[in-house]
Amino acid sequence: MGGHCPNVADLLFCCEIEQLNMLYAPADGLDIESVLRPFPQVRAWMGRVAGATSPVYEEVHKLLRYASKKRHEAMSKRNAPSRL
Amino acid sequence: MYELYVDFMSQPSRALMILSRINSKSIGGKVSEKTVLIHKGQHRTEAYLKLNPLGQIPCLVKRGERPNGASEGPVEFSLPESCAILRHLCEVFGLDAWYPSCSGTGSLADLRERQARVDSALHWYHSTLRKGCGGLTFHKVVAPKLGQTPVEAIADASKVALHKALGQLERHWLRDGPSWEAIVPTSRTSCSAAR
Repeated sequence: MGGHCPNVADLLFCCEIEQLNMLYAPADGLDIESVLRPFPQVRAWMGRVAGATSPVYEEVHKLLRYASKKRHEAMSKRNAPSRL
Repeated sequence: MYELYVDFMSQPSRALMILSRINSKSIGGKVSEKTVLIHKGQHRTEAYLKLNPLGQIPCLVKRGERPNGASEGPVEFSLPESCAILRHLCEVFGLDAWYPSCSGTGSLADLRERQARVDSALHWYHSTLRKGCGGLTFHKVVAPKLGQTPVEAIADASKVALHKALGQLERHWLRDGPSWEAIVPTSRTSCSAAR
């Protein structure tokens, strides 16, 4: 784990944590930023794994990024103050 | 020939896709991705349950030669569970950098120890990171989408579990020092001759 070349555990753990991108703080009370804030080593390591496996890493996370964005947009509309 | 049944929205599926796509040269077209959409219930179809009676994604399926007139070869081997699949693909295709699979010039005892270190991390994952992260995203995001009632108590417990898991990741698994240096392979190509 955390070596210069990623191994299967690095891949598995990073892909798990990436799922937190779906969370939207105003509705869920937390998001990936707030969850990872106390863990700078984890954040730095995720960046290294993504870099070492680029561009495949972003390729397989494309749908998750899109789904996250869509969910955040839908929830921000739902949470917007009513005009009435 | 292998078929890898995956969904882009599944965390372990993505890890497997990264492994197989990044090593496409070593794998030489012998693993093909098959998408199974969980949100459309495709993992619960009769056809999929025949391949993996557990109805889980991901799954690795090995097929034999396609007989004349048949659309596909017979299933020779079906392997559920992401950690087992990750390890198996590395061993079958000699992806030594990703999971130690050949001793090279070192001893067998050394290989076993390097394997055990990765196995230890893979086993740790299930009841810690997976439980916390999976539980939290399921009850916050997935359950409402599937029409299930999210359980706030489970989401809260998962949040605590996730925080603890990330602390262990930060302080134990990613710590500097010989324990993780030891699993970094000395050469990414040392296995190519034995493949």
